[in-house]
Amino acid sequence: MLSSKIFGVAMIDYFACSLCYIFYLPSKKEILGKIATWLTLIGVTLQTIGIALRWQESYKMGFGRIPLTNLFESMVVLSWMIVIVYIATEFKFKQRVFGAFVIPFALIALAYTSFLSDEIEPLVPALQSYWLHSHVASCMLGYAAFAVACGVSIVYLMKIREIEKGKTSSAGFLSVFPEANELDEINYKVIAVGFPFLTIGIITGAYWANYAWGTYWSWDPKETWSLITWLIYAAFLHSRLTYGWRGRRSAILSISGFLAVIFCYLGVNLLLSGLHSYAAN
Amino acid sequence: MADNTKNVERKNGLMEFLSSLRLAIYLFIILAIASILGTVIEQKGAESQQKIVINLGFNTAKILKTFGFIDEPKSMDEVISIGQKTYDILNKAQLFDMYHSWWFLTVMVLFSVNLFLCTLQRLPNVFKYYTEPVIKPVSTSAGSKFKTFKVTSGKLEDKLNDIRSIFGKPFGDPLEVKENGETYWLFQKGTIGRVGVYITHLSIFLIFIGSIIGSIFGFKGYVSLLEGEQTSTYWDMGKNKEMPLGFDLRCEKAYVKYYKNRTTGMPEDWFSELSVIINGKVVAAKTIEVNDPLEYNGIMFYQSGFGQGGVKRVMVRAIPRDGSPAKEVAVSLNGEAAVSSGTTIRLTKFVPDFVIAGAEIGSKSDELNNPAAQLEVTEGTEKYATWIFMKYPDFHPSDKGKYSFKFANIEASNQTGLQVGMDPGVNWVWAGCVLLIVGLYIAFFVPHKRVWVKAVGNEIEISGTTTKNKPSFQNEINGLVNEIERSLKC
Repeated sequence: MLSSKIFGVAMIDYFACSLCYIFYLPSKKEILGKIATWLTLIGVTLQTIGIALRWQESYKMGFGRIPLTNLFESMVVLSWMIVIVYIATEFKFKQRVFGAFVIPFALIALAYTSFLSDEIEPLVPALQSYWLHSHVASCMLGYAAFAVACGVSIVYLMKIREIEKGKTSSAGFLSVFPEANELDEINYKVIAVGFPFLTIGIITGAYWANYAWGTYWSWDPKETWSLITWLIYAAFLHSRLTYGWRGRRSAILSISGFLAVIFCYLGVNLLLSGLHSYAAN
Repeated sequence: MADNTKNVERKNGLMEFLSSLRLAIYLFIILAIASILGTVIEQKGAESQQKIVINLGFNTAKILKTFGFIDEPKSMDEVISIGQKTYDILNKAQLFDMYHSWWFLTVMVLFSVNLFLCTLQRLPNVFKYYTEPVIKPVSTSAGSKFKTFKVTSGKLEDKLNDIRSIFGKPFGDPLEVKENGETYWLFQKGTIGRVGVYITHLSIFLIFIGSIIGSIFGFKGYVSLLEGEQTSTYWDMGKNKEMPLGFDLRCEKAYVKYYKNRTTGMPEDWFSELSVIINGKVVAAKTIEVNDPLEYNGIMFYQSGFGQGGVKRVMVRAIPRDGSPAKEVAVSLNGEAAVSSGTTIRLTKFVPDFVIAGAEIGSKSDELNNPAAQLEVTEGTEKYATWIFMKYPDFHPSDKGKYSFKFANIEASNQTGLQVGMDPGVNWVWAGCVLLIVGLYIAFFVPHKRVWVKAVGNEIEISGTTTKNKPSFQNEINGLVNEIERSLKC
């Protein structure tokens, strides 16, 4: 399939892009950073074309449907959204240093799809609903934002360690990082965008479940883990806005939130069974 | 006296703890850990009780073995006995129906109380932004100072009017205090931003209320219908018994549609044509499918199962004893069919899995293991009954009449499985969900911006604060201040 080949090219592009971001750190060469940004833009364009093509291919097979319905497709879309949120963050805050810790997430997600079947199957009855689009898209957007926040937090923790070791001189390779405070702020702002999207994702899922099965919440493992994730980020926001937790503790909460996201997204499908089992293959 | 104050203190201490953020964070963590347990331990209904015990036995044995407490279990019995012991221990903590256990509900109630008290405690301060807005900045609440102008030429009034119109464009009319010839103005926007958090809290409260209403006044159940069959009851999953629907529900037809051009025979959708009947009259009808339920009187019917169900008609082969060619006739339960002009048959009884228990004839199961039918044959004025068996065509032969009858085949009818539910609390939940999103939006993205203008003597001082995104606020105000500066010069 042409779309799968395009995803392959995008994968190579993200690999090169990750290398550029990683080498941009110690060398601090502006040109490397610019190349990395351009490669990101090229990669995301390729992926957009690939996703559109796959959508079109499904119509050619006689059952048009959105490419969001199995693990292969959701991984492709997740990596695509991570890159989109990353690029938006890079342009908004004019910082590209955390690319070295975000683009690899997108690369891993996309690389994982090469182990999965790219067959386009028609939709099982349970998934034939317009709620599919808004439910999956908003969950994915939330996950992508949390991935970016996690990357930012990792950079923050590294930066803090450097400062504590007293290596803040321009010689340290982390000196290209924006001031720790700014990273802390970016972490919060990205989560402040991701959290409402996760909330919308959970709510649209509940509404859909009520319409399809007659119950808006059934403590299915996927639902429960999305709630756990939601609670961790709620704790992040409350501790920050009311207790004034910042810096290291915020960063650690952000990273643990993303670990919950990974388990919610992958672990539940691979290790536990439940209503969302169609997303496992 | 002293005791009293102590009591009050203790009471305040308890209230303080119940409304504290510390408790909220503890509860977040407890809820998260409990939820993890609930997804790791197989919950009731996910598997049969026996399977849960066996899985538990294997897993416990594995863990105990890793730490060297026991050897590898030698038999299945040993595994089951380990599993049963673990089950009994965990069952005491109601871990197999954890989400409905008393302690989980207690945590949820504590969570609601915490949410409620903490919101109640903070709301009065927030309302003050509406009821007692700070128009005259005291030095502590003055925010960041942007500019102080000295008006040297022209009338102060005119200059103030310029300022009013420049700030008025983005902020609207100011609140005003005039005293001793001094003028104080407060321009503000997005006061609701202060309330966003509490809208979010209220929304979660609404969701809880909705779910409580649903669990008290609602029900969940199941109905299974053959084509042509009707029922006035459903199986209630909470009460574990048949309950009346208040009307009759009939399944006219149930069918499956497959994807075209697929070798795998993948179903595209399942359908059931349903009718709601009251006093013999059809008052509502709908063809439901997955993702498109029928609603009647607040009761919802969802397509959830589909299968080959019972028997629609039995095909009977009538073989004339005089050697003329055999004939096949179809007959439905309690229906009649003519074999020839003097001979008719009636299907009086059908059993899917024939068994004789004492003198009674019954069915061992619902599966078609040994289908048998009782026919009532009428030949002219003569009537007699006979049993026929699908798997044993020569068993129990009858030598009466002109024909011998054989059980040729079964025409099965489809069976539909319907989830039944009523939830009068669901609209509260949706209202809560909408408010939750609105509240989050306001809390995160609507800053409360305030600009104070103070005119004392010939001096005009401009200061301001915002709750979010300080840099962009400063740019905005600096832009407006520049505009004022230009207008003051001319």
